[in-house]
Amino acid sequence: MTAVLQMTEVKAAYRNTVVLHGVTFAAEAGTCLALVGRNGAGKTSALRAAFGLMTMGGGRVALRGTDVTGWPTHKIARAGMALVPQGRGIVPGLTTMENLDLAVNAGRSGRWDRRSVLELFPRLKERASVPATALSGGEQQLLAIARALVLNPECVLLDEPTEGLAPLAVDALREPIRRMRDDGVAVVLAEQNLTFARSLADRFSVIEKGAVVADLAGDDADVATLEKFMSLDPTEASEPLPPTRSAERP
Amino acid sequence: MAIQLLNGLTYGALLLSTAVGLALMFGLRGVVNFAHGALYALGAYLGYSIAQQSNYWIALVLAPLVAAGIGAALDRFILRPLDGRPRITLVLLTFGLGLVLTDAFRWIWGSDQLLLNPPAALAGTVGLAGSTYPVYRLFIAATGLLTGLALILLLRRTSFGLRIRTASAAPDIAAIHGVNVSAVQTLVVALAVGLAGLAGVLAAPLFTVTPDMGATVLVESFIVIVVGGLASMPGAMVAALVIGMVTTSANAYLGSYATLAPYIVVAMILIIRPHGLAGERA
Repeated sequence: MTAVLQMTEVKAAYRNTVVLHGVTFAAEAGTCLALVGRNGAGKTSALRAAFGLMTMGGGRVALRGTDVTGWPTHKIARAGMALVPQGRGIVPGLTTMENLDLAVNAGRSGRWDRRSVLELFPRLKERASVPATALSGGEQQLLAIARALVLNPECVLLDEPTEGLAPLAVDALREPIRRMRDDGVAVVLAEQNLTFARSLADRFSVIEKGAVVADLAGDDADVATLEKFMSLDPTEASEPLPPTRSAERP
Repeated sequence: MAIQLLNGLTYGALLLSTAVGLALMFGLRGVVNFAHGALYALGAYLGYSIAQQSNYWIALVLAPLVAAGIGAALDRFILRPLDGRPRITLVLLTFGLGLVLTDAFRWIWGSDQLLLNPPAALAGTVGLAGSTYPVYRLFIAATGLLTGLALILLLRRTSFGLRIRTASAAPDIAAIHGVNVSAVQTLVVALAVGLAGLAGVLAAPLFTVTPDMGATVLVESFIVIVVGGLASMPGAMVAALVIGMVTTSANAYLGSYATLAPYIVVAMILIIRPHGLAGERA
């Protein structure tokens, strides 16, 4: 079957620094692919490149077989991709409901609309008219996921959703992500929290220095194996700041 | 006194139309538009020429629309190619554009003062608070305030307004939710220049139309958005009315010191609230 999202040898730069040297992975409907790798390995850049948010230097991004390389980001969104960005991407100055309406307005109809999403996240309904920046970190992350759901996407990219969250808040993310996947969405999860990633992922791709260095089936990917792959070169691993690190966070 | 308040309201309503445009452009485009005064004058000249051919009412509708079209072209062909350049480049560019436009007005319409008469229906005066007041000034105040109200509704209550606010606060987040940020930017610059044009055509019968009529308005509009808090729409609206009242009252009571008044007010407000009336603390 065709992958929902197919990244082929994607090279990309942020400002003038090349941060992806050829990233290849595929995300299939109804599965979760975890992108793991050290801080600065290129996970965020890979997701941003998929969404047209990086300067492309080569390679191909295909969504449901359609070549979307070089498309403007809003067109890729309308074609069925969603991103839950690193740091949650809550828009300051907007209320919780306005943040959600932003996605509702995109007008991709499907099983998720404003009402059904608020039923899934009653906490957001309670806090609908509160400035979204006043929500807790966990609530903001649920809002970011709710926004992605309302787009009724075929492919969802989640960028470190557990970052900075308390354990209980992390647990609350698992169910909606699993739900998306079981609905048939192709989920790509960039994650440093390997325990969390293992609880959701069917497959793993390890990113190192801007390229995918290993692909593993979920069953083969215990934490010890993943950690081994993520520090292939121990001398590199001890470097305090890999050169791509600052480039990964625009 | 009541007359002074009304004069302040009239001038404040004009400043409101120019200042909200400046604030919108700064918020969404990051552009400090020094050509805004010249674009206001452009509205007045367009209004004058259209009214010569037809009548004031057609000019009132058409001039802002033509100005908006020029705004869209300004965004597409002049601002867009310079995206990503340092802000000072854009500031210098708009400053130069203002000078070029002012000279173009001289070239096309001459340096003489032009007079645009208000339409007959608005030409008279009405009895107000024991004295008489020009109807046309009331018309300006009403049009300006309605425009402000319509803008608030547009920004707060419509999905297009939500797109504008998101694109200005977080363009990447807007884009991943299907918002065509560059189209929104072009529309907003068109809206801002259209509003400047509206202010110009409204002001034409009140003042005279001259090539550099935009200079004072530009400075006072900047004062308005500094007082109101940069890129804050409600702040700019309140500030427009305050500065309008201050300027006209000063003209009436302070004689030759009047030009100092808005500067003193802006200095005082910035001492008390460094980020403006509606600005948030950094």
